[in-house]
Amino acid sequence: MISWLTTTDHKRIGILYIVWTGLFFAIAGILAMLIRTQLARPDMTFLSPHAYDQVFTLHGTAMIFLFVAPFGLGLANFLIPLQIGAPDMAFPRLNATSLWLFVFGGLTVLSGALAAGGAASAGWTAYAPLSEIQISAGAGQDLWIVGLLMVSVSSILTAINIVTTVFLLRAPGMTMWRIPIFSWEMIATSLLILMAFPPLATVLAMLLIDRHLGGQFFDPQHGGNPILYQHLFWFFGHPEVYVMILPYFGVVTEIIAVFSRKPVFGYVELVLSAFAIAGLSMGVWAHHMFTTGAVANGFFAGMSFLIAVPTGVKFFNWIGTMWKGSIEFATPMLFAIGFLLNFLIGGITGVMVASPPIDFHVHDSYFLVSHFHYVLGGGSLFAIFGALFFWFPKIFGVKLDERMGKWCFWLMFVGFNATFFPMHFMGIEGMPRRVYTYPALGDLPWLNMVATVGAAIMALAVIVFLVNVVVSSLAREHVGDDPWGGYTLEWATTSPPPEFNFTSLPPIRSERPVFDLHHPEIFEQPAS
Amino acid sequence: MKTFVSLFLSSAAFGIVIAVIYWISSRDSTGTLLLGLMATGLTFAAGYAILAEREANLDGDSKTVRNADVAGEDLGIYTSSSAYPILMALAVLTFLVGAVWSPFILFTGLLAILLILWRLGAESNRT
Amino acid sequence: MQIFNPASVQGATLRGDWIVFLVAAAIVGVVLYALILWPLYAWRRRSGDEALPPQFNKNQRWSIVYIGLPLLLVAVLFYFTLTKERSVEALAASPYATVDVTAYRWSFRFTYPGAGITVSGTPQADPVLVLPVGKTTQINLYSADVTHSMWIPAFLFKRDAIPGYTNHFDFTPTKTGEFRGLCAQYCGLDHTLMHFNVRVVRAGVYQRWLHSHGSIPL
Repeated sequence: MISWLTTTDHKRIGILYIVWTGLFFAIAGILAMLIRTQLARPDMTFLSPHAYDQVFTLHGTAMIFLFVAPFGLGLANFLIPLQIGAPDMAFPRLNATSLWLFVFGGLTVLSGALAAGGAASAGWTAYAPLSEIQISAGAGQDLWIVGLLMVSVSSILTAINIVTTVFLLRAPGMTMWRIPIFSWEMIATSLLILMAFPPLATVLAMLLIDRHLGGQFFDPQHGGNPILYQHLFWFFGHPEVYVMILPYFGVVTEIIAVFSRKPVFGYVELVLSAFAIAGLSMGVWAHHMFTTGAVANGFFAGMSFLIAVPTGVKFFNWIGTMWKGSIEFATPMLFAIGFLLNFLIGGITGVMVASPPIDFHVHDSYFLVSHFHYVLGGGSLFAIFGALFFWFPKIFGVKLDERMGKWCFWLMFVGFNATFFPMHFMGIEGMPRRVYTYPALGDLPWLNMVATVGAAIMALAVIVFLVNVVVSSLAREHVGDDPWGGYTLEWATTSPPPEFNFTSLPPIRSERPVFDLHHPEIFEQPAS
Repeated sequence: MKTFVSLFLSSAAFGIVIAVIYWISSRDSTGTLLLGLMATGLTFAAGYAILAEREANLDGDSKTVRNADVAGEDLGIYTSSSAYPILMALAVLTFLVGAVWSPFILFTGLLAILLILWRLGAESNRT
Repeated sequence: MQIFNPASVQGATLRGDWIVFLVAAAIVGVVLYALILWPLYAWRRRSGDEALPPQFNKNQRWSIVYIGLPLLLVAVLFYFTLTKERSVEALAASPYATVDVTAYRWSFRFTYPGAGITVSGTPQADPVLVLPVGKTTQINLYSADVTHSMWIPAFLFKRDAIPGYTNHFDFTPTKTGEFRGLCAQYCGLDHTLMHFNVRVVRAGVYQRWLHSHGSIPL
């Protein structure tokens, strides 16, 4: 047991990330169920207003900072050295430090629930002046800040590790243009983290200074400016959403290619579009501020529309990968397809809210809640499940049950869409976000009830997944190196891999070294 | 290394271009400064890589190297376990908690951080 | 649906943007859904079929299409966005009426300068904002404490109330009646109860109401 606390093996660290993010996901999911219970009907008193405010704050904070983003980093931790043919990450102890900073940071954020005034309750965005000491006086807000400072440092250190590892530790023949798309997406993700997290750490420190050290950065009565908070926060906050999707673009690329029996279509385009997205994403932050009247709406609208183009390119690359392929509907592929269908909707509503005239109506309404849940839930969450089903055998040596996997997918797909599609209409009808109840007007009551039922179905899907994990682990259906017919180097070693990963490596002459190994008729292997 | 340099330099260049366009369309100093500082940081990283590039001759960058020719090469030293990471995380937590609630706890945390960094340095030199 | 029945001139312009985008969304959605679903049907693996499909991995002609067309679409959407926003945010040189709106935790205060009328609400008692139909009222929006937002769904419009910053915008209502208003920026415990009512009346009624210092019932 102690060895798990002192491990520096990237595979064990990856597993710890998956386990801890899973725990935080379960907590955030329970918080979501509390929200949907409170909102099932108008004027319910299941949660008090103060309790509700803490619940949605921690739900957003935990899902974003403690689940979606770090799961991607944890998956990268496990996969990158294997995919590039390296024995470990470049800085193993730094890697472990990142993990524990993340774990203790997350626990600190959540520990606010035990504080006298309760947990942080200013939303995951914690706008000043609402989050200033005069208005949010409790220790919960401070613990939130401290915890997120630790998570920020953790992410920055991981980004440094990933970039160094991929650039310096590639196996012989593994040129940059042969590394898997997942590894490229992680480089882009790491670049974003390096550019975006320091501003977050800065604004969190400024808030702390305002709260406890006599600062007045955001207090207009003393020369401060609340809009400054928004600029700094969103300069981080927008790239953060790309940190939360780029790894999963990589995941679905790998899965779609393998289960279509085709090479990745548009490899170069996928790489260039990742960096186009990363670069552009640094220039769109104030599309979160269209209704402030204090920013150059036209500039940000234009940049936001532009970002849709490289994202669209990726969609065409994925379609091209499936085109004229031989498609197998294994569970990972079902989740990847679900990703495509859901993320498309989220992307379309994203382009809609990128237009200020539309945003003037639906900003901070349930339309927006629907948009970001479609990209993060319908997108990232589906890719996370796809990744779990796809790489579970590699990580643990045991395959997850396919029939339960399919049940999990269909429950999740139906539940997710039932929960979040109605929210488009709730928002258009005038339901704002972050409210503990709503009037019994128009369609709001039945739309909310449908959303609550959908959420219950999603919860069932998660339970089916957990049962699957337990049952499959007990059944111990051991797998060999390559249960799926994979392409990339992680499938060239045992499941799970030995310490330091490879006893020998196949020749690397393309972005599909394991495929090349198994299909010499397609690719002439040089004598080696 | 060439890819690293091109990546960071083109990102920096892109940042400068966007910063200029942003300034012209908004005259907002906050966003312009953020974009400009970002471009500066990226340039530093690229600059360091250019200097380091002189020594890099990675097997990974060769399209035609054969595994048999480079088998058995030293890949460096990789730790398999260390207590310092979890201790460092605890030290940082202590430091930050102290920053909010107690200077005494803050200094304890700071001391712990420095101590761990010193011991980490020693651990690195030994391996 | 709300977006198709706005109650103001500015709202009608905003509805125009909605229609453009909904049409674009529908086209993109249908085309992309078809492109995603078609391969799943046409090239699903039949049992026992172990053959490798053709291993192509790029197509330059299609690349030009799927980079070029979205760029074109985005340019069109940008054009509509810019023109409609400019129109909606334009301020009349001499508005028929002016109201100073101050948002505070947790209601709104409406002040009609010159008429000596101030109306303040509480979370339990929604204040009423009176506007003349067919005429332009300029709103000056302030905040007394944290960041709030003033949203009138019937006008398809909201703007934030930020402490230390003033926002100015026009409403030109096109229908009489009563409409909901609410705060749309989370501001703490009773954010949920921070509502107001918008009463749009004929200009004559509005003038009489103003001259009576808000004492005649509407």
